[in-house]
Amino acid sequence: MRANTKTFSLYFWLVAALLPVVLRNIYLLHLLVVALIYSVTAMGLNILTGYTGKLSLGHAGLFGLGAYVSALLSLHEVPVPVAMLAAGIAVASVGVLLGIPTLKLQGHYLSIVTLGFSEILILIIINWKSLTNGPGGLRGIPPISIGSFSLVDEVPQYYFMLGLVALLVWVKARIVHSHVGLALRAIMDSETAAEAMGISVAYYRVMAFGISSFYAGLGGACFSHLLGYVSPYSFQSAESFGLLGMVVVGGIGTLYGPVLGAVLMTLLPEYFRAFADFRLILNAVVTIILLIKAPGGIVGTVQALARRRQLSAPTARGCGL
Amino acid sequence: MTQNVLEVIGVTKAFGGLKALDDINLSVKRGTVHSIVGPNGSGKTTLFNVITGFSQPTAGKVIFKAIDLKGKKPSSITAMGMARTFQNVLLFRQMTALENVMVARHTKLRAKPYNAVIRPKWVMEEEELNRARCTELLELCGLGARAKELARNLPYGEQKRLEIARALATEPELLLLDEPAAGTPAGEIDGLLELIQKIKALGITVLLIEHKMDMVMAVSDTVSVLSFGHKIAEGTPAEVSSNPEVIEAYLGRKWLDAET
Repeated sequence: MRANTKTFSLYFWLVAALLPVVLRNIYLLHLLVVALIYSVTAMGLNILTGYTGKLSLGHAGLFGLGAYVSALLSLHEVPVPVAMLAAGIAVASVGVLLGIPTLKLQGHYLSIVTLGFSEILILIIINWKSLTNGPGGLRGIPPISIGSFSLVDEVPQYYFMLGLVALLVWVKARIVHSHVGLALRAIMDSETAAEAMGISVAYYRVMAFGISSFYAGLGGACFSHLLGYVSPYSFQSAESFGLLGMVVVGGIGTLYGPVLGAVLMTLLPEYFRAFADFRLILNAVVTIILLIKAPGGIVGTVQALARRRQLSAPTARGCGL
Repeated sequence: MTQNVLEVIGVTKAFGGLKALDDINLSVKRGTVHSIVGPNGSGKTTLFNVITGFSQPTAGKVIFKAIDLKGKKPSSITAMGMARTFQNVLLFRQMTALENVMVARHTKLRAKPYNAVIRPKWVMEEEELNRARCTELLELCGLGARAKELARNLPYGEQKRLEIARALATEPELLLLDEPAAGTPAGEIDGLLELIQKIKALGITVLLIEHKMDMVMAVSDTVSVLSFGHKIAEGTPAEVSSNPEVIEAYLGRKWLDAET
């Protein structure tokens, strides 16, 4: 499987790197930039939901918080890279603060709390007008600059996001394949057994919230500086479900699933635009069909097919791609 | 170090008005196999849960290696050198047999969480050693060929043994086995018996809950009998099996009357 994974990764990055050369459609490239931004947050959600088994419906709020923290810091003259990192760390801290009081909660109860938490975050952003400009959002957020070069065109933006996503996939792979990943997956399977094996469930649950929120916050920061404008309405609860859709359609508990899912779920609605008001229905129908026909998502299905062809011993979920 | 690895002193566990354990005293000698038997509902598993920190006693205390376990989390108790298996098999079902065992090495690793990303040479070496050690443990438990199999795909008897391998991976001084033979095919009982003896030979103290009496009799140094939350007898297998109170608890008053 490991060899297959490497081949897959190689093709994935090769195709991704060549896209702007082949693709002359700037609008499509812009959509891909947006998809990659979402994929950062979706990867974070996957760490918590796909590898630790804690279903969060609050990642839109954490995403939005990251966007606002980074935007506000940079609007107050903090250098953009510093602001983005600070946003990641700030949102990670908030994630830890969300993780601690919810330690005893399981299943739907936990999901409901994350949903409410996210709503509260967005309500604060909407109502704290003196700081956030309320419903009007923030404009003129400075772009990411490297020296005198600013990331405002689609092609450099695309390569920047691609590099960042590659780095974050790599970090995620390291975590997942390490003793930490093993502990998280153990918690997903059985908290009781994990605790009995000497794993502090509290410690690792909070850590998963932290890492997951860091990704979400960083994704938000990218959103701010690449799109230049944030509105609180971009981060409402429906977006949390959208993020979850990306993770599930792409392949929950897989490395590349959230990235592929983010791309698909960003592009699909655009192609359905011709159907006007019916496009949401169409979008939902496609998602449902995908989940019935391929419950492991895109990556999960590809893995299953490869396995069947190899007839090799099955590998645990989360070990392959 | 005291001779007794575990001391249970006056432990009572009440669920509302029901006393699942009533003033239980128990001393487990280092290096022995100590069995706890008793009819269903006599409080054996509750006692295990109290000892391993999964539930706190209403009264009394548990002393492990001369340290009071009051308020300690199960994971800390495991780190101190106590491991358990579960009556109903609690494996990490979505993980391979080898991964199951590797999870249990957690407290023995020097690698810190950040070493997941920053991996100097010693971390990789530790990981390799760890993998080798876990493979050995699988082989000890007769699961060498199953390393890459998902835990949920193993037959029940093998799942039970995988739980033992996993518990051993924490390098315990005291191992608590909760009905390891339950659901094990008759043909595998002897192997299980042998395994427990091997574990004892490694210097690990075993506290065993078991219903299969011939196995208890064959493997135990000491047997304690629980009935309705009380300890009604204790002694060598021979002593216990001839104790009238034990016979009554297991088979009922009538049977005893008919006998005499």
